[in-house]
Amino acid sequence: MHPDGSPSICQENQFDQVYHDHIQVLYNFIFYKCGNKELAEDVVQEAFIKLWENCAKVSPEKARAFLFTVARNTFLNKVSKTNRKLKFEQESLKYSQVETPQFLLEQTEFEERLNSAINQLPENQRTVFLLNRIDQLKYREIAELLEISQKAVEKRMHKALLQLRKLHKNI
Amino acid sequence: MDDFLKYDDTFLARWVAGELSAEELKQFEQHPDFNYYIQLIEKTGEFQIEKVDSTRLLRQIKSKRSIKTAAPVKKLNRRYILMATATLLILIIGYQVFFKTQTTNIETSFGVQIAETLPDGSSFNLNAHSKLQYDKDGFIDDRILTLEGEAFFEVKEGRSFIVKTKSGTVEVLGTSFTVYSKDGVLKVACKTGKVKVTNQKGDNTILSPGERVFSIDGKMKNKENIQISSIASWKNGTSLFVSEPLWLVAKSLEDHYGIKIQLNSNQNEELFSGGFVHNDLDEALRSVFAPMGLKYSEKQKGNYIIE
Repeated sequence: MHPDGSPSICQENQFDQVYHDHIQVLYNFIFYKCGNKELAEDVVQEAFIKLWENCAKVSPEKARAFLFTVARNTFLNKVSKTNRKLKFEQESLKYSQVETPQFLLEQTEFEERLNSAINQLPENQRTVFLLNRIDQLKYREIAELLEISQKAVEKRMHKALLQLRKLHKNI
Repeated sequence: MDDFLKYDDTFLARWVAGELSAEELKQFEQHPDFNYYIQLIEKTGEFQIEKVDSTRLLRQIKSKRSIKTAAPVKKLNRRYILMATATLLILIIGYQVFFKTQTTNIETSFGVQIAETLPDGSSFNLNAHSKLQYDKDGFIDDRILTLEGEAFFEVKEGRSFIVKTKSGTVEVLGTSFTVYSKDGVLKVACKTGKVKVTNQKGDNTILSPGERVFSIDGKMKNKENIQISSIASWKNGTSLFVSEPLWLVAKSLEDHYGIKIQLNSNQNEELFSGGFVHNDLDEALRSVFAPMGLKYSEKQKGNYIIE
């Protein structure tokens, strides 16, 4: 039992539950940063291993914040070690879209331009934008995970949309 | 003219979150790029990312984890302990419990119907003995509901509106329609607009007004034309059926009146067209079974046998 009374992540089934609750959004978060699957998987794995190592001290409610903090640090470490600027790979973010009943041909061209524009966004803006649009996280939630203010998140989001508009015109 | 988007550096973020005042919204609607942003938000609202292979990853994590924790205790060095402590401190400072999405659960018991509005302005009528779930805060961004039973939806024009059931998914953009899902049977009828129905097997069809489709145990039938006035008639006190299997009609009787019906005849699959009122059980039973040449009798209180 965790000191504050909640179930302990040291229990296998609790750990599994926490894993399944956060794996996709954690992976997405790192993936949005670098567009590299292997790197994202590496970082995510290390984050969960650290979580296990600290399982007695982290309650399930605090797990996501813990994972994100560790993931961010791990990511920075890896990037600085390899000493090369990770260029966000063009075309690496492909989205499978839910089919809609509207069959408008003009949509396809718009979508392609959009994909391309998203890939070209600065990392800070892209991460916030995608965490909001794809993972459905609110600005407050993103702020907590990135350890910045909610206003800062909103500013990044605003800039992301402006930038997307600009890029869309130029593609 | 100065572009206000250059000066208000959170405007677009607040717009996406639905937090603009009515005046701000009006101002934005005049902006030359307004339509682009609408399209942008619609498109990205539909995007999904490739799911990570979580099972494989978990296995890898567990194998690496065992190796680490199997290491002798003396390997735990000070630096590691310090980092763990620092991490803990960060967590202690100001984190609330979060990430619990608020699921709104709406359930009707026998004979009860409910009509309500959704956060986006769409509305639904929930028929008797049915259950509806959705995330109240997230609904504005993601119009998804889970349904067991029957409901009629009037969907405001906007982003994708999705109703998930055990037997399939119904997706629309601005329309009105009914969804019935119980015991492996999915029945969807379109009243206005356009509706796309996909069953668990991935078979799908698109319904126009007056069209209705059944998917039973994973098999999607051909869609049929039915009278539009019969769609969701139950909202107004009479349940109407157009060429539907008798056992389905019997189930509806059970849901409205809270009775149990045992169909002993060999006519369970016979198609019934007609209806029953909600305020008179005997009249209701008569109007369903008499035209089929069947008699009903009450064996115990609330239990009926049809033969």
